[in-house]
Amino acid sequence: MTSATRRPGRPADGNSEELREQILSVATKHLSTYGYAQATVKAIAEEVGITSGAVYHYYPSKQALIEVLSVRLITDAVTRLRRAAELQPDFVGRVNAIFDELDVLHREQPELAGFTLVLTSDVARYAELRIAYESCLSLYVDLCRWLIDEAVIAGELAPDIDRPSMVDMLHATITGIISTLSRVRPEHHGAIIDSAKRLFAGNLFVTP
Amino acid sequence: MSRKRRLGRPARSDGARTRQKVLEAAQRQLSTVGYAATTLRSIAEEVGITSLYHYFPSKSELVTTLLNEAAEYTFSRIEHVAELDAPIVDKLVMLLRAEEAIFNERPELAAFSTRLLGDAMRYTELSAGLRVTRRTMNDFYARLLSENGATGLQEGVDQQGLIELFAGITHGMASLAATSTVRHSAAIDRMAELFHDTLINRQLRA
Repeated sequence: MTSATRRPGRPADGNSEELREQILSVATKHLSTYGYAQATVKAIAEEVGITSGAVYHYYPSKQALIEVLSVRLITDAVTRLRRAAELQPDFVGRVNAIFDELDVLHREQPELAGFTLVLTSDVARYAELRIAYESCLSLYVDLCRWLIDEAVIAGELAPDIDRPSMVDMLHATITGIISTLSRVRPEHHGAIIDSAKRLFAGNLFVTP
Repeated sequence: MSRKRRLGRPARSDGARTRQKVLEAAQRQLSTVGYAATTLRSIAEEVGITSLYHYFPSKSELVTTLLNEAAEYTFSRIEHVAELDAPIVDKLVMLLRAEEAIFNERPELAAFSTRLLGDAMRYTELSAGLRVTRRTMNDFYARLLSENGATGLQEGVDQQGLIELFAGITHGMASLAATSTVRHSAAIDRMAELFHDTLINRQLRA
């Protein structure tokens, strides 16, 4: 057994949780780098060092795998954004805390931006991505709704504000910042986040 | 005078029309099935011709033509904003409004630009084409700020940071426009209020 090369296949029971994690992390990388079509179970299995069959043992289909990983990835990210925001006393403080946290998140998990871009651009082509996409979208939308509700209660936003367009605007700003951070060199990130914070704090432009 | 139509390459006006059809089909396919699945053959099939070779010898030439055409069209609609003698905040809001007009006029451009950006991460020949567009856009923003831009900005604002932020916001907005141009218009109203600082009630804050 010692000289034999390790057989690919289902691993011993002991490290199955670890393996499940490994599959998710390799799949995230493949999906954010190559897109949905090219992120194949075969290639993912090869990089992990197991057979495709072993991947299917944990996730019945590629679609199931992608759904699990996208919901988890975005749930983690949005939870962190929300926690950062909750420490702040007002709307501007919360939005700004989210911008700061986006910068930190991007540094720790650069694949998150690629993943977000891929999910939004591939969903139009592959119907089986719809559930993953809708789940991720609703996490962001819930975050925006919470921000807006709190601000209306506090009187920071007008009580009759058009909430759907407000949600869309905040969401577009957050995803726009994510895409910008992914294509601009890290040394400029601070300046981008600073401008975003100034925009919401009202000290970006000179207004009459 | 009733000359018989020669076989072979179509007459000039026909050629121009077919070329236009090819571009439209290509744009539609790139926006829906994506860069990899869009082939010269799939486009020829949709248009109903045997080969695209006479119009575009390669896929990259075809995509470059589309990117340039989209960029030229966009610039023709926004160029004048850079020359205006107005506060920077007004110019940026005018750009958002121009974008709104562009997507209302040609809704297919929203999906095209959003989806290609996702593809550009995977296909280098595509990202090269987009880089040119991005550089032209960067020059445009630099001109926008240089006219009288700095005067409209508060002390300590990093101009490059603002440009990149604005580019990101327009990208986020374009992807909303790809979903619904009506929602895009409404979100731009909120964005304009934010820019003009009439969105958030600051009276409450100490």
